[in-house]
This record gives sequence, C-alpha cells and structure tokens, in this order.
Amino acid sequence: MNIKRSGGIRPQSSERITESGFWNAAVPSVCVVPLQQHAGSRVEPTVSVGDVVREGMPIGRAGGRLGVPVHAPIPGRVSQVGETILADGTRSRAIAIELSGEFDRLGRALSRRDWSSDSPDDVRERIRDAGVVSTGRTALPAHVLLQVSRGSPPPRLVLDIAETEPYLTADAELVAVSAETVLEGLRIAARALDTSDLHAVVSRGHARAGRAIRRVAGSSPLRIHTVTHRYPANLPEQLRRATGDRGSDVQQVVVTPSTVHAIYEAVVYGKPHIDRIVSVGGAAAVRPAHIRVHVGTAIGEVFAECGGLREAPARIVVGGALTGLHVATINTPITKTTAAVLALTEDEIRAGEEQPCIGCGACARACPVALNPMLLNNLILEGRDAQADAAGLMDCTECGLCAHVCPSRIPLVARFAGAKRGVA
Amino acid sequence: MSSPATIPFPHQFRPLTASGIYRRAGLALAVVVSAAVARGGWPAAAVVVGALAGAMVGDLFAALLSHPVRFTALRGWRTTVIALIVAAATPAAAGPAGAAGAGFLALVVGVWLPGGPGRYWLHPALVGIALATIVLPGYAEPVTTLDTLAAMGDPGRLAEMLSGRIGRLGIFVPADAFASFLIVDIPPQAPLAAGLLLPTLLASLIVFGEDLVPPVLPLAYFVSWAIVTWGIGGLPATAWAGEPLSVAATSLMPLTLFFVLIEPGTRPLHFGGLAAFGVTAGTTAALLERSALPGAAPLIAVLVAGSLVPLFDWLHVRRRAR
Repeated sequence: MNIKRSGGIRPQSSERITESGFWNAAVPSVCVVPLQQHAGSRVEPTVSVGDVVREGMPIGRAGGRLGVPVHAPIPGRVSQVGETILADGTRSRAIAIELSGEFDRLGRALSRRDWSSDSPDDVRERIRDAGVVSTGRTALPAHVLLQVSRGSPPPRLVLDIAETEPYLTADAELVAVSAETVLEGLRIAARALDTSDLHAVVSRGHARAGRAIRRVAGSSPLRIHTVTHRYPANLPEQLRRATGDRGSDVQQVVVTPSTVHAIYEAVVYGKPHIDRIVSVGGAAAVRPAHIRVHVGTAIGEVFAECGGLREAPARIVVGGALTGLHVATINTPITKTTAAVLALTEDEIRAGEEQPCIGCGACARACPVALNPMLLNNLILEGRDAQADAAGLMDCTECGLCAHVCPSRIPLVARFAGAKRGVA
Repeated sequence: MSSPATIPFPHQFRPLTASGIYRRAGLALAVVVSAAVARGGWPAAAVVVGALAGAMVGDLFAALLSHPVRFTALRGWRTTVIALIVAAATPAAAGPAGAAGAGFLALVVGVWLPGGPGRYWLHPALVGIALATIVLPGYAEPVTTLDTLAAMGDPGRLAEMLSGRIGRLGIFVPADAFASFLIVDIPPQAPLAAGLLLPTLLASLIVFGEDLVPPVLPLAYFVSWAIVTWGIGGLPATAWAGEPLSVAATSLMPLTLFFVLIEPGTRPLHFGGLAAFGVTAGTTAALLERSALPGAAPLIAVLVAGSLVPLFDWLHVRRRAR
C-alpha cells in the first residue's frame, strides 16, 4: 500500500467546543445488551427471561478461540431475550435488563490486584474473561489482538493517540484525564504480548493528551512520537512510519487508549467490559461532551444525558463524522466499540443529491493511500471489478474522505465498500 | 472539567457542490458575455442564444442515445458554462448558426464521446470550436475590420448612450470611459469577448473569490507566455496589435486565463501538474502567436496542453508511488 505524506485533510480546530473531562452518565432503567459486539464467534445467551442478574455477571457465552463473554452492565431482571438492530444495520441477539437491586462495583472502592507476577497467558485469560473488545478499526477480542504466533520475534506495541477524525476525541480525552491508568493498561498489554517495544503516536492536535502521556511516561521504555494533525493520521502504515519503521518485518500491534483502559480495569480490578467513554457531538447536540456510558444504553438516553437536542438532526451517526454509521433509530444501543454518537445538522453532513462527477480531482488529492477514486468509481459503475481491483480497490481504507470532499456528493466510500465485498 | 477542548470539524475545503461550482462559473461568464452583447447588439445576442441552444440540443441528443452514466450534463449548469465559453470565443461574424454548431459539437464530441461528464480531459468548448472551424463552412473565415464592426454593432454610439443615461442620474462618466470599457478597436475576425478586459477582470473576482481555479494555473500560463514572448524577441508585426500587452488585453488571453482554465475536469489533479499545464499552455500560446493563427493562439495552446494532462497526472502518481 502506498502512503503518501500529503493527502488527507487538516481538520479545523475552532468550530466546536465541548467540555474537557468526562462524567458518568445516569444508569439507564433498561439496558439492551447486544450479544454480538465483536468479530468472531457467535455468542449465546446464558440467561433467560425472568432471571435476576448482578452487575458484571456473564449473560452471554461464546465458544471458540475468537469469542468473549458478554456481561450484565447493570443489576436487574432479564425482561426479554430477543434481537436488536446494531448501528451497522445487522441483527444481533440481545438481552434486555430492567434495572433493580444494588450495584456491586459502581460507586464502591475496589481492591487493587497485583498483576506483576502474571504470565502472558494469565493476562490474556483475564482479558478474555472480562470480555474486553478492541475498539480500534476492527472490533476484535483484545486477547486475540494481543497474541502472536509462537517463535515469532516480539512485536511492536503502539498506543494510538492519533485518531483525528472529527468528533472522535474520547480516546485523547481519556489519555489527557487518566494517563496513569492508560499507561498501566499499556504495560499490561505489553505483558500479554511479551514485548518491551512500546510506542505511543500522538497527533499534534491532541496537545493535552501528549503532555499527559509524556508526564507519566517518565523513564519508562515508552517511546512517544508526534505526528501532524491531519486526518487520517493513524492508518497502520502511517503508524509504522511514525514509529520509525522503514519496512522491517516486525509485527505491529495497535491498541487504542480505551482498549488499554478496559484492559487495565479488567486485570487490576477484575472489572468486565461493561461501559465505555463516548463522545457526544454534532451541532444539534445541546451540550457536546464526553461521558462514560453503560453498554446497552440507548443512544437517545445518551443525548438526553447531554441536555437533549437543540433541533431535529439531519442524521444520527454512530462513530466518526466521516466513517460513522447512520442509524435509523435512537433506540440503537451503545456497544463496547461505540466511540461517538453524533447529531449532525444539514450543514455538517453536507448532504445532497448525487450529481455527475466533474473530474475535479478533490477525491484523488484527499485520498491518503494515493488511489484515484474517480477512476475506481467509473470502473465499478461499469461493472469492471477486475480492473477496479487492479487499480487498488482493496487498498482503500474506507476513511471516508473521498466522499466527504466530493462536490458531486457521490457516495464513493459506500460504493467502494460494497465493491470490495464483491471483489473479495 | 474546566478548560475547553476543541472538536475539529468540518474541514479545509470549501463546501461547494458540483452545481455550485458551475453556477458560479456561469455567473462569472455571464458578466463577460453580457458585456459582449451590450457591445455587439443583436448579432452578438444571436450568437449567444445560438451557442446555448446548440449545446443543449447536443447534450440531450447525446444523452438520449446511449451512455453508461445516468445524468445529462445539462444538469448542474455544466452545459451552460460550456456554451457561454463557446459563445465568448466564437467570431461574431460566424452568426447564430455557426455558434449553434460549435455548441452542439462541444457537447456531443467534447463531453459525451469520451464517456460523459467526469471522463473528458480536453476542454469541450475548445473541442467544439476547433471542430467547427474545420467542418463548418464560414465559421472562421477572415473578414475585414469593417465587416466585423458592422456585425458587432456600433460600440461608439453605445458608449455615448450609456454616458447620457448615467448623466441623467447626476453621475458624469465620459463616453470615452465606456468606449475603453467596450473596446472599439477590435481586430478582424474578433471573437465575441475579445478585448473585454475590464468585464473579464471584474468577473474574475467571482472566479477567484470562490476559489474555482488554483491561482498557480493562470500565473504559470501568463509568466511563461511573457518570458517566451520576450525571449524570442517580442511578437511579430503580423500579430494582432503587434505588441505583447495589447495582445494580452485584446485577445482571448483574459478569457482563457480566468474562464477556460477553471474547468475542473480538464486540469491536472495536483499542484505540479497544474504548474506544468500552465507553463505548457503559456509557452505554446507564445509560439503560436508567431504563426498564422494569432487570435486563436490561447485556445489552441490550452487544447494542446490539455492533451498532455493524462501524462502529467500519470507522472505525478508514479512519483508518489515510489
């Protein structure tokens, strides 16, 4: 894959202001917990309607190496075992829990566990049992992400604080506020990988996060690299370059701050992955902010926590403004991988009727992997999938920039994603 | 929860739509063409109407036949812009029929034959004008200065009239000012917009204000044209006005710099390609002005340079891939 040094866009930095830090959202009265929150094995429910569950109790079990259990985010009674529609439009089995009883962890002082003598296998086991899912580009179980084949050299572990997609600021905020726990989570992940080659890549736009991680890193072996504030800045090849790798065979494992934070809580406090920090944004949101939300909370309740909406949004999006998914209902539940919920106005989504390509080349200039989206689009429209593949279709990272900058409002990235599945 | 954190959005690009780009280009061109009609009277208006009608008929004709794209170029003002450029660059003596023919060819051959919107790389208006010159009898035949002036009305009388009308409002503007604005002294076989330097500069404010064309393109064109012209000892006496600045002011160079070069589909994708495109076109124009086609030199130069655009893009992609 060719990664050019230019390309991408430079996000503006003075248009949306939110509060720094985050707070715990109110506990929802009902949580609809999807069982399929990651790629891999199918998760089966272990509870049935009427069962009483405690906070953090396993309610779903997955078979196979790629599966992780799902836990009850709140205590209560199982009111329904059925299906729900996830943000990507797929259906997943889900368990609805009505809040009742008392919390075992929330609001209580938890005892800290010493993990320094744990073996890599022990650490991975604890991570798996806690149901930790990687929140990066692919929703893989974290214990799978942190496993390398036997006999291979120690991999490079990279903490990705270079997410620059508009509104996806929860990870940077987590580092800024809680750098110590993030760093300890990174060390635990390094133990699971049995590596000491630790790197952090920070975008210049996340200055507070950069300062915080530098402050706590001290004399640790963590090497911190700064990259220009452009979107995208954290493609795998970009991170490899940022860490000074010029084509070596060393495997690179990329983890996000929220992943290592969940690992920290799982290994140090035995807490399952039942909540996460979410960015709430969009011009229609009354109070853009970062909040810690229980898995299974409806998107509508997350907006309500932030003061509701100032106007009817043109689009509700789960994820970033460019790569996020448009959801049809505010009842869509938060999952372990939900990084942001956005209420975007007409101005922000720049929606419009698709018009013919004018050949302006804005997409080609923006593409971070040096593709020619105009050519790919023409080839796909003509059904020439083999030529599209030869033109680099499979190299598309689906960063969403081409569609975002296109003045003809051609849904390029959606078209490429569909064609990739067809070509593959 | 004290200090503010910023969430960056949306991006550095101007939020123009495709139709917005062409609408603004069309608005800018309308300023120039309106000035040409004000100068040329009914014959000039007939040329504009002819070009618009020919282009629209050509667009619908080609779109109805068969093509893989489900849009007509008529939508989004693209056809209007191409037609206005055809009109502005058409000799007034060609008449509405000639302009209609050029407009028709611009859309059918320039836009649709290469595959439709987004797939052509030679400027459709230039393709149409070039083909009209070749296939339409009388489209670009030389005429005398007297004939041309007769075809374009009486700018001197128009200047007097404008001066008088504005004088009634209490604002005194001498007729000479309007005369210079409308350029009475145009050469034989002059295109409709030739010599309309001030309206063209005025309209260029819209073009650059809306960021429709990267400044490197006209700049590279003009600088290379000036250097080459100076390097080869100036323009020959047979060229229009005989000296470079007059040629720059009275030929189609202003129209080319600010309006022909804005077409997004026919310019290179990247900065280096844009500069190379401008230099190639400017150099070619300077050389062509010494040939037998001094008036059409800027347009032919852009056509020649346009044929190299795929090469510029390919070179850029190859360099970036290394």
